Amino acid sequence: MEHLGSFSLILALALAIFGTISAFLAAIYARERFRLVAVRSYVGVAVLVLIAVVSLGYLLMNDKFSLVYIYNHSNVALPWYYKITAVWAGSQGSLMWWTLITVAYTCIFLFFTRKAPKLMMSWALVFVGMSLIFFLLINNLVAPPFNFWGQSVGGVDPVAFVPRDGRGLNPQLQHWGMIIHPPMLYTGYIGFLYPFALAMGALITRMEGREWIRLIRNWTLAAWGILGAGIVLGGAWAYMELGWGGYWAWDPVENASFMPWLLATGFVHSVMAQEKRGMFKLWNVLLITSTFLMCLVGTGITRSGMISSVHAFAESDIGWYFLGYIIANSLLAGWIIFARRDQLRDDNRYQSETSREVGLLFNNVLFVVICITMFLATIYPMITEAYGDKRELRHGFYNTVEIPIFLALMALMAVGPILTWKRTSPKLIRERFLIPSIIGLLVTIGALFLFGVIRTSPLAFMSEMLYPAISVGVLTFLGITIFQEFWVVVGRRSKRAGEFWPTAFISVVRMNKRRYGGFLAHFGILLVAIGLTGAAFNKQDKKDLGIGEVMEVGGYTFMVQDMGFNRTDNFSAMHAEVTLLKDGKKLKTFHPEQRVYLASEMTASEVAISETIMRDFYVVLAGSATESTKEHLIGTFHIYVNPLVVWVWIGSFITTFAIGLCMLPDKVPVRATSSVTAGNEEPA
Amino acid sequence: MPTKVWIPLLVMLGGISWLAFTNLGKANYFFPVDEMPASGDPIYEHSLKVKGRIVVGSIIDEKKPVIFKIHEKDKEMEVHYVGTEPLPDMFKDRAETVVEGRMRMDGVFEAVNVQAKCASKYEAAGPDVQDAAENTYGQPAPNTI
Repeated sequence: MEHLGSFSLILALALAIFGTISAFLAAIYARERFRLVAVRSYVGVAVLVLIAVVSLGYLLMNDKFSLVYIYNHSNVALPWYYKITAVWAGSQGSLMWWTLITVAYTCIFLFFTRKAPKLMMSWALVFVGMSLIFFLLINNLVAPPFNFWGQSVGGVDPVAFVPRDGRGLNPQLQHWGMIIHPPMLYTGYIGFLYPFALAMGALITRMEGREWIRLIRNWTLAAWGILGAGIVLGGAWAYMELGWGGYWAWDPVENASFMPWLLATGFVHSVMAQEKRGMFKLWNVLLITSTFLMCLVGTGITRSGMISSVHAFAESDIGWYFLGYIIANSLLAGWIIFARRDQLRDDNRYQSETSREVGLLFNNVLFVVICITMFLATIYPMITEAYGDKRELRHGFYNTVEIPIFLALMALMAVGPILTWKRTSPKLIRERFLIPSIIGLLVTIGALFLFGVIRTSPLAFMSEMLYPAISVGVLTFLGITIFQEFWVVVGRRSKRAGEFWPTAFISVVRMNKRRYGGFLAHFGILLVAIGLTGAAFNKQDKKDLGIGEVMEVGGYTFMVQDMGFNRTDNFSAMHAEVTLLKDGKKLKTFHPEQRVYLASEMTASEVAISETIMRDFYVVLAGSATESTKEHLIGTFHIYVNPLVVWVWIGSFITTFAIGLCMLPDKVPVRATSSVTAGNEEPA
Repeated sequence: MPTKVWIPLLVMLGGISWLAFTNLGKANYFFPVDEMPASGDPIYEHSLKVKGRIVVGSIIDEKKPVIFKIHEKDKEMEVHYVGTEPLPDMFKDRAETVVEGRMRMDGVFEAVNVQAKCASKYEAAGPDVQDAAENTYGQPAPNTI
């Protein structure tokens, strides 16, 4: 099996090279037969990579510690499902897993684009093939997962060495969120390869701008939705597993996943202008190209060890290969875009400052600015090291600089979708924005007083609560405009079609999935933003407590009821029972644990969380206190009360669902008896 | 583009740049222990981040502050952890840590935050395994995602 795996990988590389060459020939000579050869080769590559991954999984299940990778990432007592997830727990395995996702996605891509223009597809397949070759090169040469002990040491006799047990899977990776999060993120990353490849194919074959933008729309939305979900899952995992009470820390690796998402978000908005008005063409091509490349940049800078991160990546030269691939791709894409610049001229101009086009312009500028400032801040240690002492920017910088931009985007999110193309009538503006903006302003002022921003000192400009106060006002404004939009159209539909309002709501969304899918997505983001604003009111405390002792956090009383030790094959644990008390009554019970994993000798906290609509109670048992004895156990407890966190998860779910909704084709429901459409606006 | 569009655009970009530049001062200086500038330098005035491995047996975790030493190559530094957060799970002998705080004039580093990456687990597994692993990978390979 060991040899089967590495052999499949070599064969896959050969076949990928062969397929890419035939795709290139098909593109140059416009030969359909060559294109079919390429398609079949790629399917063959997919099968071979699948074989390699399955054999690694099989070897993990059978505890073949003769492989270095398996020794490093598994052990006998590990539950079977974590043995399987160990396939992508380490650097080598995760890169092979990445290849698997790429080939699987490629198969889906080939299936759904089977009716797309043939010549354009041939060019797109060249770009897809180059990516396959790149990943397979990495798998074969740089990070081979099927190495035996001593195998890779040149000239030295292989050590006949088979350890009896492995070092175990990093305990922090033993969590369901960690099972889904990396594959999800990789899928999101690689998903942008396809819109990028299609865009390049369309440019080379001089396809009409409005046409190809429609062709790549769903591929972009899919990748964007998956990447977003992957990022949120990563946050959820960090929150539930790591025990530091938060879900986002502006760490370089987190930023690396967030930056392509920001660019993609700009892109999915600005394509509307290209589709409807033939504008932003050059900009869109640049955006989709840089989105795809940004997906790889993150991997490049973090895995090359140029920037330190709390995410423990094995530092290796993989990053340099990534950077090489990025530079090659950007040169190629740059050349193609330059050669086709005549095709990328805009058909229309801005006609008024109250047009949706202008709204989209601001949207894009803001998203790109967030991305650029984040990028510069992330590589700031590299920049400063080149000119002297290495310096790092912490979350304080990001919070101060990025949050106002996000707040501006939230305000824009309220305004943009309601603006119409070319010019918005002053009447509509008055109708939709006058009252919400007055209310929003009043709420902001109220919040400024309530949160103590103004009271502390009229000049306390940078008070910690300034942003949260503005956020509350902006989100109120956003909430009202979204509610108002649905109120108006659902009311109209309900009246004209004689439907009860929930039915009317569903018909309205079904009849214009793109517009109302968009509003739903915005609504989800509103909920996420409410959750994030809640973080300004987090409370926490840490204390050493014995059984029967209490501590108070944010007005809530927690009491330790019991403590003890238990042991399984995989870990030994100290556990506790903590109750939340109110007026002497037990409201909730928590069972936090502090585990020591036997194979890896690593400790990990099992956090006990109670999520409620209003706030999370988050109890961490950080270990036993120094004065603890066998008779009198004393544990160190860290308790957080975090308001509104659950809305981050709910909002993300709604947004992901809404993105899926936007991908569905618009159909007028058969049940609708009236021929009147729901909105007076043209479809977005 | 209408004037009413690009003026707010410029104002916005200007505002963001102003925020970014004025906040660059929040940056931490980042050094490995062995590259710390000699005393007398303005290291005492800035917030610092220092990277190093925990010296075996140096952790004194009986009362506050938690005292330990970190080293990089042959240079050691004493750290007093005065933060309120519990020390991370990975905090133990040989762990690679990044301590954040400031340098006191007496040469003791006062840390308000300690991050730790996975301790090298090879030592525990015996010298054979360690050598084999390091030969194969060039260095101990921590788990990754």
